[in-house]
Amino acid sequence: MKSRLLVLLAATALLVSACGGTEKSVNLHGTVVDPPFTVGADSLTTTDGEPFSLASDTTAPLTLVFFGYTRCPDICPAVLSSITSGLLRLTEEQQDQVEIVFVSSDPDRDTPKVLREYLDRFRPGIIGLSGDIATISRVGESVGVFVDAGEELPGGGYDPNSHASYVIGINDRHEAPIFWSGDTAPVQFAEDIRFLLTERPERLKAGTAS
Amino acid sequence: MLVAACGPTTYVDRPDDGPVPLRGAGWQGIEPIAIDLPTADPVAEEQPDLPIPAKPGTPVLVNIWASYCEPCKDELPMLEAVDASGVMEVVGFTRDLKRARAVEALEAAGVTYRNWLDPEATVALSVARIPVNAIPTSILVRDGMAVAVHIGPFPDRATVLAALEIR
Repeated sequence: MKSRLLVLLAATALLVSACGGTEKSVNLHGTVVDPPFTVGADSLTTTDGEPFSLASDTTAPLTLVFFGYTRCPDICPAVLSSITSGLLRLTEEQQDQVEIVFVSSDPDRDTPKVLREYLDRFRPGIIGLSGDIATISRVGESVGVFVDAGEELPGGGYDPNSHASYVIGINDRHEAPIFWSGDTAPVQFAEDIRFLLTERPERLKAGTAS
Repeated sequence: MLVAACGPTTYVDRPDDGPVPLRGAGWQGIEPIAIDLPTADPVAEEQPDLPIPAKPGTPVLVNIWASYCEPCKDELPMLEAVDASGVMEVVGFTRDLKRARAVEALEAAGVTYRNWLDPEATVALSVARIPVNAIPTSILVRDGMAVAVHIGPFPDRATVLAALEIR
């Protein structure tokens, strides 16, 4: 586990290209995970009530997954806004190759209707997933996002389910080879996504700058 | 992402310019940096086209907010009162993608100071090491230079006004 964490901290990725085995280093805003996370196969439920597994039902060349909850006051909606604003910098053809999935970390409050209305504020077509908190936690943990059940506060307030604000990138082989911190700006998402879609690296390999 | 290509590669340098300001730690002085505020897209059509600050020499509080951010909206009336008092000029930059949402929130809070749309977070990116997606965030600008930042909501008006002591 420790060695994997060290890899996660590497800020630079080596792109192993098909061009005669040459390698070039690429500075991505996201962090490359090598080997990629194996996405948990548990099935969650879409806002339409359909089962959806991140390990088998993602179809786009790139799927961006974010765990959050609709009552999140500040950071989660700003991260969603950064993703969607970043996508608007890409061509329509590129945008069509990216799917966004929002997994609720507060399934009790985020009913399908609440989740759908919330997500449509940012961009049409965002897939909203929910399920029981144990399943959500398992799926989150498989991609390095830790989700805990929240608790009621003595004053009647609510300490929402904690969740890491990473954005996970899943490729069309259902692997998660990259993640972005919750502090990523729209232009940074746009640059990385454009790179991933246009260069289509066969493999992202973490390493240090050479 | 199955086929590797041989096209050009984009290189992006990461800035490495000091510690990230902390949330909830009050005003934090930063290495002064010239700030060019993105004023291409005013929220209100009838917004007066004046320089920032409208009155030369006035300290400016640049507030980054969004209609989907409850703590951001909670402090808008207080910021309006500070602006109205004349000791500082408050200007807002919203991360909203939809203008109507911003207009609705500003009207509900009774805000009359100037606001612009900044969905790409240009303001936050122009000041070193502001956590881009932590809102609200406020920046103190004196004579065109960002000199201090406040990450997170203001606990009270006195904290907002503490900016006046920062040079």
